[in-house]
Amino acid sequence: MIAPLNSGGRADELTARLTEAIQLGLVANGHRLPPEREFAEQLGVSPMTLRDAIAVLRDRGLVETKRGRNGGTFVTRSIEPDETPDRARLAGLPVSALRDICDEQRAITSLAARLAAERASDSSVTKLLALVDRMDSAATRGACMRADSRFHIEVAIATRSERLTRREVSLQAETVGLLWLSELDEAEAVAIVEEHREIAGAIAEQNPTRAQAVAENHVLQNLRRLAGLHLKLVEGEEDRS
Amino acid sequence: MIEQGHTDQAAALPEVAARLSAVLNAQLEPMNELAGRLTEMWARPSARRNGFSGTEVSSLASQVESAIRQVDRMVGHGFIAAPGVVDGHERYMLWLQRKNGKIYRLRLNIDHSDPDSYEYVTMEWYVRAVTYGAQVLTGPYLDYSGSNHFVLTFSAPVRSDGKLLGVVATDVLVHKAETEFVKILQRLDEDAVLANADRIVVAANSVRWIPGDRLPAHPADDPANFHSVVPLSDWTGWWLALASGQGDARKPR
Repeated sequence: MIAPLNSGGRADELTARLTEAIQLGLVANGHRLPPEREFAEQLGVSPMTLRDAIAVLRDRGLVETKRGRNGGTFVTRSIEPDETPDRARLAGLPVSALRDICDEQRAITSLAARLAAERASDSSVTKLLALVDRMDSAATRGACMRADSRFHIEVAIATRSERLTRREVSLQAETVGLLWLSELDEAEAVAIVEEHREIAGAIAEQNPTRAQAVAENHVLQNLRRLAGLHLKLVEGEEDRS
Repeated sequence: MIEQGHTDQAAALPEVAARLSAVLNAQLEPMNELAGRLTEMWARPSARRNGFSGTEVSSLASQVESAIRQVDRMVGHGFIAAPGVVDGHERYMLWLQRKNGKIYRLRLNIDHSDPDSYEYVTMEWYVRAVTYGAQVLTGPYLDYSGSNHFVLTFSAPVRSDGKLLGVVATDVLVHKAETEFVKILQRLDEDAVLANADRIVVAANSVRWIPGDRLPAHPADDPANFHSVVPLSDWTGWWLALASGQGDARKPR
């Protein structure tokens, strides 16, 4: 007997894509989503999958549904995403789980950097360098999150691989909010910018080996940062055993 | 009985290049028609006074839609207005996309006051079209923030009496275009590669080159590896090259 397709997987991927699209500002704040059936058709998913994804977006405060004559589901993008859900999520993710995410991130992000160094067009390189500067001057959590995600996604886009890009979008949607908590040291924030600059530089120089190495190092440093934040968050918790 | 190898004459390189160019040139037709309608509309006194109205531009949607329907490889088409040309809109797009068999209007965040908006005036296909003043070909590239497809973008500026009204453009799916290119390249007996101006391989009739790879040098500057190089129509910046030496030379049947 053939096992049914894991529809959960598709809903997750759809949720990640929509989350990222909203957080990166690809859809305007207040934009009304098309009617459910039409939207599902456009996205190539079943209405059920779309409904599941929208429910998650509603929980995350990214969309709101209004009833009545002018009702519908509207994008409610806040420029400054609330830390609270991310803080709760990170507190609940043991370091072994963070390591698991990092393993996938290592595979995707460092390969994407290597391939970008081999394949990137001049305009992609220009975009990457501009995104590093943007992160450098980002002053708020929201701005840092957007500059961070956009950078990694842009590296994936430069490879021209749709699959790597989809995976990177998913990973960014999952992790970027966890990294940029107020507990993150300023020194770490500065280091993150420098690591991005190194990656962009290696891609600009068309040096695949170096691009892969600095990207991998960046992911490992992020694991250390996330693990450190997790430990800080759980330190205060009582031992209830 | 005539052996297949003799009747199946290898097409001459220039002829193959011409066929490839014809595929690309054909994509310009709907764009020219759309540009024609826009310049006609601009001739109206109301447009001269206040610019286009959003309603006026939107009225072209059915023409855009029918252009997409007619050509299977087209996945997007439309008009992207120059800043302020559409009355009351600092940015304005009439862009229709095909997805899962349906055609619908793409709505992007083009709110100019939002720093995260889709700033199309900085997009390569817009800048190059306006700078060169004529049609340009961009890609293959992954249009993540726009259509989210892997495309080739054909774009051309629309001007009336020297005033830039905006850009008309068409997106073609790379996968569909590649299939067509390969069919044409397979008329050649020797290993052949089609590459863009950035030296990125677009298609080949041999596994020596994988689409997306960057050639280490321009074929015209690489006589050791390529013995014949022919450009496609000037405006594309693309090249067709035949390889020298060993490798996967196709055997005559």
